[in-house]
Amino acid sequence: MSFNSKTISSILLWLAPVVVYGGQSDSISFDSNLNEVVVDGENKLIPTTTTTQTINLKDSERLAIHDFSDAVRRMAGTEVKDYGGVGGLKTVSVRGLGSKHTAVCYNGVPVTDCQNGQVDLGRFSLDQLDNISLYIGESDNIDCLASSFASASMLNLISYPPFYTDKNYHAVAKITCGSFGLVNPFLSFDHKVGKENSVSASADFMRADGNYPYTLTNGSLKTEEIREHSAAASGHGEMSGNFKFGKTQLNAKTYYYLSDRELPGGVVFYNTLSNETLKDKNAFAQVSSRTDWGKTMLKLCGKFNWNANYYHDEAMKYPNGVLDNRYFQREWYGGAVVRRNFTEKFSMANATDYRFNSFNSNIYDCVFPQRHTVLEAVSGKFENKRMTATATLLGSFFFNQVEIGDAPENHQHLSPSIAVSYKPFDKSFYLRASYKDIFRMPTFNELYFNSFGARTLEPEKTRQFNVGATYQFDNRQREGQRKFSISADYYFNQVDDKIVYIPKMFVWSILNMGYVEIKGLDFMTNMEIATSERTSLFFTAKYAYQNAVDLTDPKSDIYGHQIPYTPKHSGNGSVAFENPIVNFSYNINAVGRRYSLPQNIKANGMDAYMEHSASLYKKFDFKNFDMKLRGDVVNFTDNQYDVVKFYPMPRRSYKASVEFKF
Amino acid sequence: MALLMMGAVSFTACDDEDELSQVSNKDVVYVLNEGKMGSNNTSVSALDLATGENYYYQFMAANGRGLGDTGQDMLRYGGKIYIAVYGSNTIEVVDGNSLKSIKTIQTEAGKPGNPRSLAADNGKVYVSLFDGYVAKLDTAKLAIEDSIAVGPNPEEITVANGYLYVAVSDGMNYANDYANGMYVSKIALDSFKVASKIDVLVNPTKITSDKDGNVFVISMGNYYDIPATVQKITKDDKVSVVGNATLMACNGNTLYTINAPWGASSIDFASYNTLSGTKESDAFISGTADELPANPTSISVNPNNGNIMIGSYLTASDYSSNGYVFEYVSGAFKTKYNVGVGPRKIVY
Repeated sequence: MSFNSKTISSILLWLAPVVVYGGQSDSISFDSNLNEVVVDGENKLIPTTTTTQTINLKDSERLAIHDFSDAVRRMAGTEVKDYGGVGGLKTVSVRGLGSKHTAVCYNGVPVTDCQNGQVDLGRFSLDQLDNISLYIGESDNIDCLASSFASASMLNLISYPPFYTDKNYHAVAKITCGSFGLVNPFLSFDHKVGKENSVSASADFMRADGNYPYTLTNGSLKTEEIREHSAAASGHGEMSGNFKFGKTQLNAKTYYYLSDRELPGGVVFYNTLSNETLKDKNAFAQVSSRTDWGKTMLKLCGKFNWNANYYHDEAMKYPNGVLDNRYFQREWYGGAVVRRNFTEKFSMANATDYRFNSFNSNIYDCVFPQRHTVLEAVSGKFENKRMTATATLLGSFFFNQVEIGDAPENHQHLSPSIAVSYKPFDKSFYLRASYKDIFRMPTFNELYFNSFGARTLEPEKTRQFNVGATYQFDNRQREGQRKFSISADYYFNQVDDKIVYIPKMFVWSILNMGYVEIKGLDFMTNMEIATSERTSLFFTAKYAYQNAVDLTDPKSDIYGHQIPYTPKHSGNGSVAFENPIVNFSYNINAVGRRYSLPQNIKANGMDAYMEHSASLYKKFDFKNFDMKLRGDVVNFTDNQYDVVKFYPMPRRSYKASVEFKF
Repeated sequence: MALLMMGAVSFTACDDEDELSQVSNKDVVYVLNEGKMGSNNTSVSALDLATGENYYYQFMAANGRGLGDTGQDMLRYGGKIYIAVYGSNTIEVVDGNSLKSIKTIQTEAGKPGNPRSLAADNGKVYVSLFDGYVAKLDTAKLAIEDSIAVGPNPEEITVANGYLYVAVSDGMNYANDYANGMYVSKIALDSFKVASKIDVLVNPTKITSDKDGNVFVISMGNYYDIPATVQKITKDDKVSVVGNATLMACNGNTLYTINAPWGASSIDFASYNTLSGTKESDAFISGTADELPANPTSISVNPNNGNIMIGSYLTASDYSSNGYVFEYVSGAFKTKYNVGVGPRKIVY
């Protein structure tokens, strides 16, 4: 779609209030962003009016969730690609669209990687997080930054909000130890300053030897091997402050992350040699604010992000025996959202984002690219007793620059999305439908490196249709049963101009050529039963069906084949029994047969697997502090499986943690 | 449509490979399929040229295990077949009929490795190692008895005139325009010492020779503004340009070439006289779109009947699915065989 001057001027008109409100407020406000979740504290494991799912990490024990990527794969419609081990890359694809279509936000502010277009989930730890939400397609929240509308799905990580009752500080000390040399201490401290302000600091460190045993299957030959060269160490620290000035809440945060890991690479038959290492550094500082005048709300956000990756390999084939690639990214980001409730039922919001990315590297074909991105989202929301409807129109503008050669063309797009939910009866039964038309820009890697002609790449487009229904039953009066909810969604997704990597000799080419259709079903249910005064049972179950087929070339042998790493059937379930002695939870994660390459032949097939995990946990309340003990056994049936072919996952492993809260 | 049906049928056949079995008919030719890098799916297919039947995974069927990652070359010599597997860093030596493994030769850790290309002469098998060496294998002991440094990232090798000709590509040095990859190293076979370095165009990769000792080398150029070029090297090391091509094979005094450069809209099939260097044909094969390789990866001539065999990936952009070997009789399409991913070499 293209813009005419009228569209642009109407957008500019919408921009005007931002300036006005910005001028009126003498300080800026904060938002932890989509804090409706935080506010009502409800576990929105089952979505209601939209397809948004939330996992409250207070419940992580109850769900036997053992790390961040495990939490993500519990959400319906996600496929976490896990390259195995503590240091292994972990990315998430939602509903078959590919990992680059999932944005990651930390407290509502985007975490980006302009080079690769995907964020490694392995770097996030659960310790600091209060909840995780997954937004698929259009949500019913219009209070967000424009970036939140700019991807097919979004994973939002929310850290603990400072909350004081009887005392004016909190301190947490926790240590987790586990198999394969895992040691992971965590410390955090926050302090109330004055009446409504607080400051906090936290740090964690993680190290692991890796070197876990696995069984390698090569034809009918099975050998016991050790996953060598897989040690990892990382640490991160952050400081933040929350301040309140009148109607404005302000949050400032600085963050630093460092990781150093050995990369074992994929298993190659008969050859275990591997010398690759990767160091990552990431630092950011951000300020966000939220000001509420009742009918009008203004949110502002600014961020500077710096990211460095140092890849090192040693082999005789390289000139001088070494390969050292260094990549540096910088991002300047600013965003503003203004929302006005025109009536009780109708509100509108306007969100504007500006982002400047620059990249440099020592690699030979680096062209030092830069990109300016302007996003402008106008949304409206209508809400009454029966119905909630939101609609958003997002305008995206991309301006590319390079220091060497010709820059790719600038791009502009208009992307509509809409979501409607309807409650036909007085009970908590909702019907919902949504549509979203969005795209992802080619990453800097795709546009500029190790390829020719890639500068002509077009964005990869997605369209998502969803219809679903939810029923929630909450009867705390009736003996035995307290809560029950169930939901089902059918979706139809299209990925067009799919960006496809084609290897040839020593160079790669990247083309817009793929077309994929995904038809799927997400089904989820959970239940809480009070079995007696002091004991409760919790159940969750999820099932996903995905028919994701490549429809690029009707003449090709792979036309209609299921796309790689997309099982037709997958699901997970958990049970927890909480009682005064020791709490127990169990989880099963089941993934059906899938293929590692586009051609659906037996040689590319990957067997279905099930992973069982269990936790024991107990909280002790002492006079001045709480203590929480937890033990996990992950994959307790000792099952050998790969998520990514030739990246074997660890078999049975153990984890234990002790946490003190003051 | 018929072809589509045929494809569907053979797809079913290959997916239904539970009865992983070896072909009983020994009158077959073997095809080495490179596989997709990182997928450990190098494989050997068998083709029954008389009946047109194809058999997948013959190495796996004979040995109960796979060849590994990125098979680069296969050579039949002295009743055995040698297979150079680059990623797995192995040279598999198998029985020439049964494909049963006789020995898996591995270079020591820390020593030069990564086999690329094979040639044989006078009881010895030579193998280029991408780490910068050529090794000499004793075919009785099946062990490396000597090796010699030739320059960075050697690729194909060929034996002619009592010498081993080695294309030295410097392929990993793309950052410096393959600065040390502009020659063919000529090694005297009797002394196993470098006799001369012959300057050629940048990034020499493919090499072959005719029955009269004329050597032909393809310099791949820089995949950008220097095109892949065939050059002729005479016995006295004189170099002349023949034409542009990315693949080639010699038969008698004819050099068959395929020019399928990256991004080109059409593929050329030109043949040349190896003595004069003049073009014999602009299109030594012809056929409909389904009868021509979409993405050729190898060419050879069946020495028994002169038929031209061309290996191809499935489509111009699909480098991970099973491909084809096309067979031509006197330039006319005869048939195509379903084979594994990236048919790279045929031994007859």
